[in-house]
This record gives sequence, structure tokens and C-alpha cells, in this order.
Amino acid sequence: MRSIIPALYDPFLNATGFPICPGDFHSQNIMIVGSDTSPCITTVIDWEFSGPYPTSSFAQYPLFIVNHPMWEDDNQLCQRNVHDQATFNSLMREAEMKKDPMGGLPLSRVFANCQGIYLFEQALQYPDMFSALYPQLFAYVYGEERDFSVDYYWALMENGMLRKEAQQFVKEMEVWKEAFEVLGRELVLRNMSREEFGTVVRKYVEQFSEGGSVREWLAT
Amino acid sequence: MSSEVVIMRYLTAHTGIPVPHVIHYYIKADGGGVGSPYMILAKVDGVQLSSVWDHMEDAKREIVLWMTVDILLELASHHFDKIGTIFQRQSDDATTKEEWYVGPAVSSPRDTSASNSVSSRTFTSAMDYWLTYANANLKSISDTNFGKDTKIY
Repeated sequence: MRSIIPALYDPFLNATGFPICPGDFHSQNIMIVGSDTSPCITTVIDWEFSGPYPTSSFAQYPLFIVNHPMWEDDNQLCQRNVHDQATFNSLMREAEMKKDPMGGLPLSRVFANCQGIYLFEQALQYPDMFSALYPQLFAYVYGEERDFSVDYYWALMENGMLRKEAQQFVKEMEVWKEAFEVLGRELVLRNMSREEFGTVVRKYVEQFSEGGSVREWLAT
Repeated sequence: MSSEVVIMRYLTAHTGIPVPHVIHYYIKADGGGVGSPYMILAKVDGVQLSSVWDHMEDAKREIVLWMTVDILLELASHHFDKIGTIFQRQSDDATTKEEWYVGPAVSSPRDTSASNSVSSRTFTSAMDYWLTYANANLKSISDTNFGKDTKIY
């Protein structure tokens, strides 16, 4: 994921600074009257997670016209969202043109190409959605060559740049197993941080045999 | 929460974006006896868009999108020099210096989450921001769940 950042973000967009991004710009925070006669937005509430932000992160469709990553392809709203996004794009072009006729519509362009950044940021920020978003993100980045992202990942982990980390995780698995067998499930939990684990095994260090993987790990 | 008040004040002062009117707020942890920080906002008209959106006709949705575009363009026309949290200077020197400035969020140093690692400082580049975020995520995967057999790194 980290390696595609330069392909997604255009530094030129922020040459003039960073706009305030509404952190929670979804339909629960927009108040409206006259929805079936003449709609009017009365207030935008909840600015708690708002602040200056990269333009490409700002220029995202409001979430009420974006398909939820967990939806099935035949969800009725998918078709409607395609329609609404097209409407949004043309309204944005029109309004931006009015504001700055000679500007070349920079914001409209970013909005119309916001899909990649949407997928990237959602996948990074919401680990629960990761499994649904990851294939979509890499389909977006590599097109039909879906297996490429898997190959790339394993190349990094097995022989490439991240092999040291990968080897370290394998080593830590052995260390954890030994500690689990010696100290039992009461002391050695499944979701400990490295620091918490270290504190526990140091406390009971005399129970581990010389030359075992726990002692070896503690020595490094 | 205080940053939310500052943003709403900024938007009221510099834009036409409709935000709730802040009647009163108290940011100290005990809320001055109330028990937690609080904020009193004026009542707002209307219903949540989420409660009606799925059933609105095409033409009506278009009007809402048009207003949304307006709000976003207005937001986009105000620029800050850094990515971070907006603060308002509380002193008399407002005449000599800019009243609004961007700084790191006030956060608890015990929070080691990836989102905290980016909010505890400011950035001047989108790439720096997201690289820091991605690296903090990797660090958190590495540091937690010690010895787990499947680490998606």
C-alpha cells in the first residue's frame, strides 16, 4: 500500500495551501428541509474531525453518493450513485467555471478521479473494511492484473525489502509458542504487544531453558 | 471538542456555510461540575439528509447535490499553510498576527494509534501525511499481537 502513495497524490494541488475538510461529511450530519418540495440544506453539523487537509483527500464525493464497499453489485443504489456522481461532476464543473473561468477546473478534475484515493484512504483508516477494499484498490491500480499485487507483496516479504520484518515475525512466532508452552495461557495471551510480552517473559526468565528461543530473543 | 468550536467560529466569520450557532461551551474535563466537557448549540431546523435521501426523486437530489457543491467550493476557497488542527489566538496581538493558525492536535501521549501519530504534528505535504500514516500502521502491526501466525504487513 505504502508504495502507491506517490502515484495517487499530486503535490502540485497543494501549492496554494490546504482547505478545511469536513471530517464527517455524510448524510447524517446534513440537515435538510423540504425534501419532497423544494429541498434546502439548513445546517451542516458535527465538525469535530475537521481541519486543513490535502486537496485530494478533500475532493471526495460526499458519502451518500458512494457505494458502500460491502454492497453486492446488484444493489439498486449502485446505478443511482453512478447517475448522481455524474450529476455531481457536471454541477462541480459548472460552479467552478463560474468562479474561475480561466482556472482550468482543477478541483473538478480531482473530484472526477477521486476513486483511487477514496479506496486507499478508507483501507488505511478502517482496518475492518480492509478485506473488502483491498481487492478494489488493486483492481483500480493494476487493472486486470489482480495477481500482481499478491506477487508484489510476496516478493517484498520473501526476498525483497521487507524480508527482515517477515523473518522477525516468524522468529517471534516460535518465541511466543515456547513462552505459551512454558508459562501457559494465563500469562501468555494472543494479543499482547511486543512490550507487554517482553515484560512477562523477563519476569519469569529463569523458567526458560538456556539456548531456547525465548532466551535468544531476550538477548537481542 | 474545542477545535470543533474554533472551526465553527471560523466558518461563521469567513464563509456562508450554515453551521450550528454555538451558544456556550466548556472544555475543561469536569465541565465545571457537569461531569464532562460540553457544548450548547442552537436548535437547527430540518431532518437528517440520511433519513430521506434514499427516497428522494432525481430532480430533488440534484438540488441537494448543487448545494453540496456550493459548500465544498466555498471550503476549497479558504487555504491554510499546513495540515493539522485550527486554533484561534486568544490575545490582543491579533492585530499584528494572523488570528487563525494551524498546530498539532492536543492529544494524549499514551495513544499510540496510527491516527494519533498524524494528528500529533502538522504536515506541509499530502505525501508526507499519508506516508507517516502508513508507516505508523505498519509499526502498530509489528508491535502488537506478538507472535501471531498471520500478520498482514
